Amino acid sequence: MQVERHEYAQPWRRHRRSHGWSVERGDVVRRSPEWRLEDKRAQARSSDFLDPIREAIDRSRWITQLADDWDGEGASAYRVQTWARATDFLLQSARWLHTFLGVTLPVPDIGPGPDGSVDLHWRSEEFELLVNVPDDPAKPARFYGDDHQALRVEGTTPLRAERTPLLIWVAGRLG
Amino acid sequence: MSWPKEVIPDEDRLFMRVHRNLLSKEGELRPGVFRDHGGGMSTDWSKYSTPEETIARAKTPADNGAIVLPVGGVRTIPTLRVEHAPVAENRAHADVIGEKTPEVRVLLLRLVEWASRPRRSATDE
Repeated sequence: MQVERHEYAQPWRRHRRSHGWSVERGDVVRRSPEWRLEDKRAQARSSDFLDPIREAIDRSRWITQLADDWDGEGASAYRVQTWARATDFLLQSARWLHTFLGVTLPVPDIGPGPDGSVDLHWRSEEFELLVNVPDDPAKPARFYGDDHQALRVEGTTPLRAERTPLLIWVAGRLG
Repeated sequence: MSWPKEVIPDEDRLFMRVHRNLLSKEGELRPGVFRDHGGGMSTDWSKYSTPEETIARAKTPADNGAIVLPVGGVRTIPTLRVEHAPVAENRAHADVIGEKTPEVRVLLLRLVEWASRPRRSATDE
């Protein structure tokens, strides 16, 4: 385990051993794609790009405090678990986009959806996207997005950022 | 009293209550406003209601505003139907029937005009 930690802190050592790349006094002369990936991960850990998203998540906690019939029309209350699944997905997505594609995810509106679900809603000049996280944890999230013109995307997505082509679509709208 | 069910023309409008929790921090309407209550999404037909009357029918009128949806615009969304569904206490009642998928909710959001905005939500300041 100690060796693993050591290599993580100094990734060039691993690359020098396994690929023979030139390293002098810790300065990598030629970087491998894998090294750049580690570099990006380190940047993501140290940056504050997630702060606006975290603030939006904190502000949205009120959703979980709504009681049944909060709207006077019979709306359901929201379970903390549903809100947590939605906001975890949001954080994962923001981290994934920044780390792997160098894109900063805009802050969505996090709002009460129908039937105990939670909505993540982005609306900008570039695109509009609505991701609905259902109350039932066995069901995937449903989404619809477009660029206000002909380019549209819709479907379902598992709530794991690394598994969703949806984020590639988002990155394309922001790039 | 039982009211006759009528055909709602495309040129007319629907009024729908909006609870103040369905406004975003920026004061924009949230797509969560589009949801079914029983058989459909409850609205009031402009032939028999005003936005003020729609708001007055809320449990807590002070927490609500009202939006306007054009009937013809709603009917451009292929999966939706607009049907007059009068009840004894509300001749204007109309249902928008059809699943409120994320796509449908985004498209409905683009049709909306405000008749009367609710006060901002105290929970999302």
